[in-house]
Amino acid sequence: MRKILVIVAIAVASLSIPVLAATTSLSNNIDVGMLVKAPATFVYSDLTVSPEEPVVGQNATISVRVDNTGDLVGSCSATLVFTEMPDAFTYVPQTQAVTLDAGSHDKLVFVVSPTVAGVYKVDLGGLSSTFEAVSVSYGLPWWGYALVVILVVTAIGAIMAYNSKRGASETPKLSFRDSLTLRFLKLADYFSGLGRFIRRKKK
Amino acid sequence: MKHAIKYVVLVTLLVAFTFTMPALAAETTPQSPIVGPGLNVTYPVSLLWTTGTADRAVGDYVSDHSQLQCVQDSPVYLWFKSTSSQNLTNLYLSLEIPQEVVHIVPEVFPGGTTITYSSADGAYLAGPVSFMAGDTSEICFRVVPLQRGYYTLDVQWIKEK
Repeated sequence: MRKILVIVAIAVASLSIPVLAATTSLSNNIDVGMLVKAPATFVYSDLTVSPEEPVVGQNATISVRVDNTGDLVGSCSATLVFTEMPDAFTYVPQTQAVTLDAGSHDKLVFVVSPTVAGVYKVDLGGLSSTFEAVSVSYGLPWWGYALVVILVVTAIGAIMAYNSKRGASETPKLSFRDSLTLRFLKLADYFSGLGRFIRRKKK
Repeated sequence: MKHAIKYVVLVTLLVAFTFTMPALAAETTPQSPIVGPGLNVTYPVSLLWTTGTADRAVGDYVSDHSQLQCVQDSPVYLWFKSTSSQNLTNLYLSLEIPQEVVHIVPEVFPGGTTITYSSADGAYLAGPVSFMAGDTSEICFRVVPLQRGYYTLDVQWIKEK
């Protein structure tokens, strides 16, 4: 009898412990699927100033790339600020806004005209860059040099034509063959004189 | 001596049954639905959910497994509505999701119900809540998603220990 009672007691206790320890669900279970998207996030990069040394009075273009790295469409605005500039330069901050789809990018372009020579430091979208505005241009672009060459050649041609015409009016009427010979001799004389001049200069 | 042993055993049995019976009664509700033809699972507490604002639920309460779109760091208000068919005490509404994924703003509801996070369960627990048979309660959670991605919030009423 005692053995039976002990076995029953052990059985009841062993059944009770797991039941007491368990967490019991008392309702239906709901699984709420949550799709969490990142808000529009804007990242600025590639701040450039063009030209790197603008001439005073001419326009300089300042641009920056902006990327939306978030999962949602969103708008952002960027203000171009000069944190360092010559005292005489006055500037009203410019602001531009852009709306970007998720994963897309755009370029914000600002045009400024430095009216005073000196060092300028710009801040745009948390990025900064420095450029110097110069008073004069120290060089010509390629098309400038080409224009100068064309002008010089044209001027020489015009002078030669004028001299040729003047010489023709002072000399008696010559046949075409004599005239061609005379011109050739004059040209040869010109180059020989030029050669003498160069040799003298070299000495 | 024999009588003494009998007495001890009987007392042990009585004590064991005293603790066991309520637990066994609660256990009559299965922890997971029994799937099979002609078998219906009934729970003492119904659980429905919907979204809303901080002040009120918007839209119809549903019990199905639906998807919710939300934005990182922007709070979303989840409303849960429950009706009990029995007198029940010390219930906890369990929202199972890692704490790193979702932050549920701690609040104290009327009657002293509070939200805590149980690392052991990996769940936010709101409770204790007591129901009289036929009682209906609505509980709102201010949920702040912390990470982008897709997650599942597993919600149910539980009886702790």
